[in-house]
Formats: sequence, structure tokens, C-alpha cells
Amino acid sequence: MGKLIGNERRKLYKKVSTWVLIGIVVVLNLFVLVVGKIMTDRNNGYRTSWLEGYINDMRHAERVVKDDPENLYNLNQAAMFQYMIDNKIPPSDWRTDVVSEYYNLLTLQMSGAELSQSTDGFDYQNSYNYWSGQQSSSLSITPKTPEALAARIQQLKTLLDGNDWREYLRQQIVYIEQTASDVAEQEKAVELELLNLYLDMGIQPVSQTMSYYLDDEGDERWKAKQVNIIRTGRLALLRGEAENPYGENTLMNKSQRAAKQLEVDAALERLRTDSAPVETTDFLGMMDQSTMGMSLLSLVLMVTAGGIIASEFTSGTVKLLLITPHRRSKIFWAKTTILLELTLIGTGALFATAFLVSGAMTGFAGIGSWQVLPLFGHTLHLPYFLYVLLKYIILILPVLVYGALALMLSAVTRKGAVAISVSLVLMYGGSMVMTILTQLAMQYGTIPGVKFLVFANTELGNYLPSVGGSIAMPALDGTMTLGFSLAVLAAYLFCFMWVARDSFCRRDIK
Amino acid sequence: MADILVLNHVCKAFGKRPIVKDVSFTVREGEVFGFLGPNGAGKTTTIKMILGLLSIDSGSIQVAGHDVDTDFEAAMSHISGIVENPDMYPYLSGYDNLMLQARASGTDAARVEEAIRMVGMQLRIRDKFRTYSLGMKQRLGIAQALLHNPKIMILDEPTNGLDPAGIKEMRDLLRTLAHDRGMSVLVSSHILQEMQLMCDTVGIIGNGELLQVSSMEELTRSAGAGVYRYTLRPMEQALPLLQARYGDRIAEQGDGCVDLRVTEEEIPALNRLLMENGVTIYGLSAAAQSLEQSFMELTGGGNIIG
Repeated sequence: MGKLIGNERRKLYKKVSTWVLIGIVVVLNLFVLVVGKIMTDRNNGYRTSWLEGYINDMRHAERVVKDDPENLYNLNQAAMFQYMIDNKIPPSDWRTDVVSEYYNLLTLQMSGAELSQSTDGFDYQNSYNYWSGQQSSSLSITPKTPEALAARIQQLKTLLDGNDWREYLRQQIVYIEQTASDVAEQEKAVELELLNLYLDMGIQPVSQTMSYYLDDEGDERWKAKQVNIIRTGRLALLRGEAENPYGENTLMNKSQRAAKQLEVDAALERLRTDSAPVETTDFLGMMDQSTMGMSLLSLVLMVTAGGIIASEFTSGTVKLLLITPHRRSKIFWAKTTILLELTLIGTGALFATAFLVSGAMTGFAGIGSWQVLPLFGHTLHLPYFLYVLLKYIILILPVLVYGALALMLSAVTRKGAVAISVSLVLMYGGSMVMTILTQLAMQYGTIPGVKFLVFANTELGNYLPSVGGSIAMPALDGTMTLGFSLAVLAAYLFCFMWVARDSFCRRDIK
Repeated sequence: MADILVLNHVCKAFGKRPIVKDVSFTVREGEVFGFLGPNGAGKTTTIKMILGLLSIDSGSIQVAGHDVDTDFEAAMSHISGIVENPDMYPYLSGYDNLMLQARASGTDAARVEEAIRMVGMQLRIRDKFRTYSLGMKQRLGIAQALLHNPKIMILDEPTNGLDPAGIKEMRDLLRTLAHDRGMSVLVSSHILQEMQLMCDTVGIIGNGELLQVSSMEELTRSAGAGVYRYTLRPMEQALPLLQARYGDRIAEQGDGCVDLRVTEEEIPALNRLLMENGVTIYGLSAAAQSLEQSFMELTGGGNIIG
């Protein structure tokens, strides 16, 4: 058996095309990695810094006021930007909200306009929170009387002078507790719990105000984002609805609820262990992105596996191969072993080159970062480097499944070109069909049985969050988990190999 | 001498079309067995069954006492062969190709060197296989078949692509292997003349059936036996005479001569008859009716694939 494997190794490795293919995949992967890193760095470089932006905005407001001294809004805008520049308040700082409310109310007071009587002073609205990247709700307090207005302005002024975010949060707690509104008691409880979480964990809130300016200050911003994940998760669990970006929100089923709960747990764990997420441009962020090269490796394996049996038939060497004193099954397993070896070599090459190049570009910064993610029904807390390694290992399985598909076609058709082209068409066609099915599933609900299709399970990256992303619910069928997909892939792998082996070992060599 | 290869009532059909019908024969130790038949007669199919490339529908094949079907690995360790063309990996050198085969059959590099010398391929052995001429490929194929010192070697049309000198060389090599080393050889061919000098025994296959197995001497003798060429004058007078008395014996009729199938004992009487009727015998010789003709007769007349 060892000698047969040795023979298969020599035959495969002496083919120049094997190495050319692996080389192309490695170079392509590195190219994407390096260009991605450079583009992100450059992109941030092109963005106006917030300080510069604020100065421009202030000048603009001043110019308007110069032409039109009666323009109270711009007068206060100029003052607002001046204040933020003087006190070095970046757009993500919680004080941005306070400053902007303060000057808006000031404008209102100076204009002496009629105050709205319709609201009860506490407004609760949903908006997109730029700094946490999440849907979020914010408080806005609308005073009804000039006295209340003056009191509110004074309160905001005190907050700013004190620069105490804890006080800011406490005030919000008081407002939520005291104000009767149409918000359900349970949801109110969630809001209060989270405001207390900020206080308990010493997390500074972030502003709700959107800004296009570059703000690379505030390293602790990720914590507020985690709080927001917890908040949306809790509210979703309370309402029992899963968010659906393509249509009506749907009711969550049991497994979706469990997944949501795990997501909340993971965010809590991340806060508890103080594990900051990895950025795209970090060493580990680049390593994480390099796992995408594994899908290219599928192509190498498909081309090799598609040829490894069929080429013996086209070159006529199959007769020579099969009249050696070895059972055909031995020869088949020798070939399979070499395909596995090639997969491991390819994976190793992708990993090693990504490691070196990412390391060289980032100086291995943040190599000790941690990852927290829900996996197999638990909240895992593991070094990010180990996570990347784990991801590489898990992503080998879909590569092997594609390889087995090509091997099966190779054994059945005995024509390399047919085996390779059909398996490629199946791979790309399969993923196209899956995209369509996913959209159908989102609009009309889960299609029963579709989750057992092989191509519904090959995108394991969906379960393993990449940098900056969180775990997305499998859109095709909410009941799918990583464990399920691994099991389905293993079953398909077994079937493909069985057909390939049977076809190779039993059929006549005409 | 021991039986190295035994075929027992072997049958094979592709779909509903029978290709090999109840073929039985035996190749003994040190024997060069010629497997003769027109194209499409079932030679290659039979050979592929012997080598385990095709399954056997019914019957059995033993190589050195091991059943090909049930004891494949043991059977294959005593046999080697070239089927159809001497195909090898084109992107590897001749040497690398031989080494692959040597490792698979459990022999060493020394044996590879020996096999290369035996077929005289020393000079070009490091070149890529795709650069070889057909003749060189044939030689390399033979070298490959010699590697694990098999008890029997199966060669499917080994003289394809060889020039006359190459054919002679091949013939000598096979005879040496068989007669000096005791290796049995099964050679298939559709060209009779080649076999005449090479083989000890000939099995003739036609349309999937084994028509005849006999020693080469026997075949030569029986094919040529009893046909005599008479050169007669005047033919106009001779022909009616012969047709009346020996009508069923006329094998062929040419310009001024006629081939007659008669026994030696009949010749004096025939001669007397001709002379008494005024026919002069200008020549009388044993007809050089070739093996080819009896082969054609046996296999139903040539290359019509049926």
C-alpha cells in the first residue's frame, strides 16, 4: 500500500500543472489579502478627519451667519462645532448627542416658537446607530413648557460641564422609569437592564449621531456595540420575531430562539472577558480573511480529482496500473490518500503564506486577541489565532466534498474533461440555485428538505463569523447549524466516495 | 511441463453480443503460444480477461494455479503483459515509468537496469516517454513486462510498429526468454507469417470461438499437405478429364497449371490417366499453399468483423 501511495505521489507531483494550480491559488489569495489591506488603509487615509470636518462645518455656518445674522440655527451650529473642537469631542463621543441637543434646544428657546404639546416629553424612536452599526433606539426629550425647556437646557449644560457619562446614563434611567409611554413594561425593563449594564461594566456609551468623518479615537467603542447586540437580541427574544431584511419579520422558531440567545450570551461573554474584536487590517483580521482562499482550493482539488482516474483511461495507462498484483480497491485508496495529501499541502501553503505576508504587513500586531462565538450550543472563548486555525481545518471538509464529487464523476465517466467541467458546473450552478432558494425561503418560508442538499451546506463560513461580522442566521433554513452541515457534508462525502470506489473497482476496462 | 495458464470454458458478452464463446486452452511452461485471429475475433477481450481487466461471465482462468477472479493478487504476481498499445505516462521518463511499475510489483532498481539492458534501451531511458517512437515504446513495454520475472508474459500484437529488424529482435528475445529461462509467452497477432517463426503452439480464434489448437509444425504440415501443382498441356484436354474424375479435388486453377488435393498414393494413377489421354505433364510440385490460406479458410475468410 505504501508503495502504491508513493507511485501516485510521484505521478501527481511530477505533473507541472499540479504546482502551477496551487501556485495560482496561493498568489491569488495573497493578492486579494494585500490589495484589501492597502485599500482599507488608503481609504481611511482619504477620509477627512473629524477635526478638519468640524472646522469646515463651523466655517460654513459662520459664513451663513455673516450673510444672514438672523439665522439662529446656523449661529448655534457654529457655536456647537466650536464647542466640540475646543473640548475635543469626536463624533463617536456620547457628548455629541448632548451637545447637539443642547444647541438645538437653545435655538428653540431663542426663536421663542410655540412648543409642541402633543408629546408627553418622552419620545422613543428607532434609528440606525452609526457608531455601533446596529439598529437602535434613542431617547429624545421634548419639553412642553418654556420652564421645562430652560430646565432641560440647564440640565444639559451641567452634564457637559461635569463630563460625566454615568450621570448621563442615570438621567436616562430616571426618564425611562418615570415617563409613562406606549413602550411595553417588559421592553422598558430590557432598556433599564442594559443602561445598568453600561454602568456596572463601566462602558462609555457612544453617540447616536451619524458622521462621515474619520474617527479613530475611542478604542472602547466595541463594548457599546456588544451592548447593542445584547439589546437587539433581548428585544427580538421578547417580541419573538426574527429580523428579516427582505420582508416581513417572521416569528422565531425554537432553534432560532436558541441561536439568538447564544448570540446574546456571546456578546456578554465578550464584555465579561474584555475580548475586543479583531479589525480587518489587524494581523489576525488578515489571517481570518485568508480563509476565503479555501474555496479556491476546491477548484484545484476538483481539477486534480477529476483527472486522477480519468487520465489513466485517456492515456491508456490504466491497463498497466491494474495488472500489477494489487486489488483495485488498494489502488483507489492510494489515489484518495494522495488527494487528501494534496488538500493538506494546499491548506498548509495558504495558511503559511498568509501568515508570513500578514505578519510582514502588520508586524503581527494583536496576535494575542481572543474570539468569542457561539458554536455547537456553547459560548466558546478561544484565542483568535486558534480560531483561524480551526476555521481552516473546518473548511477542509467542503473542499474534500467537492473533490469527492469530481472523483466520482472521474471514475464514472472516465473522461477528465467531462468530470472536471460537470463538477465545476454543479458547484457554481448549485450555489446559484441556493441563492434563489434562499430568497424564496425568505419570502415564502422555509422549503422543507432543501437543507439536506449538499450545496446548502458547503458555505461553512456562514457559521464561522469573519472579522467585524457577527453570526448570521442561516437564511435558507433557520434550523441549520454548523454541526448539521458538517454531518450532511460527511454523509455526501461518504456517498460520493462509495460510488467512485464501486465504479472504479467493479467495472470492465474495455 | 507444468500448465502456467489455463482457460476453462471462458465466455464473455458485451451487453447481449457474445464476444468470447466457450474458449478453453492451456499454455505450458516455456512455451510460446500464438493467439491467432483476424481483427475483432476476440483476442484482446480474452487477453483482458486473463489480466483481470474484464470480468469473466462464465468459466475460469488460472495463472500458475491461482484463479484470476478469486485470487487476483497471487495470479497477477506471476503474469505481466502489454494490452493493445504499450501506453505509459507520457510526462515521465522511460526510467521513471519502469520504476513506477517496479515498485508496484515489488522489484528493485537493479532489476529495472537489467530489463533496460535486455531490451537495449540504455541510451534513451532518461528521455520523456512521449518522445519515443512506437518501436521504442514497444521495447519499453517489454522491459516493463519483464520486471517482476513473471511466469507468463502476455503480449497483444507486440510487433505493431516494429521494422523487420525489430521484429526479428523481438522474436529472438521471446524465444530466448521461453526456451532458456522457461518463461511462457502468449502472443496475439493477426499476421500469420510472424507467428510461424515465433511460436511453438498456435490457437486460432475466429468470431469468438477457439477453432483449433495445434503445434506450429502440425499446422504447417496439415495446411500444405496433399496439394500438388500440375503444369499441364494442353489444358483444354486436361481439364474435362480432371473435372470428370477429380472434380472435387481441384483446389485452384491457374494459367496452364492446376492445384489438386491428392494423396501421395494417388499420384501414379493420376499421372498415368493424364498421359494415357494425351496430356503432357510439364511440371509437378507440392503446392506452396501458404498457412495464410488455411488460416483464412479456418477463420471464415479474413478481416470481416462479425
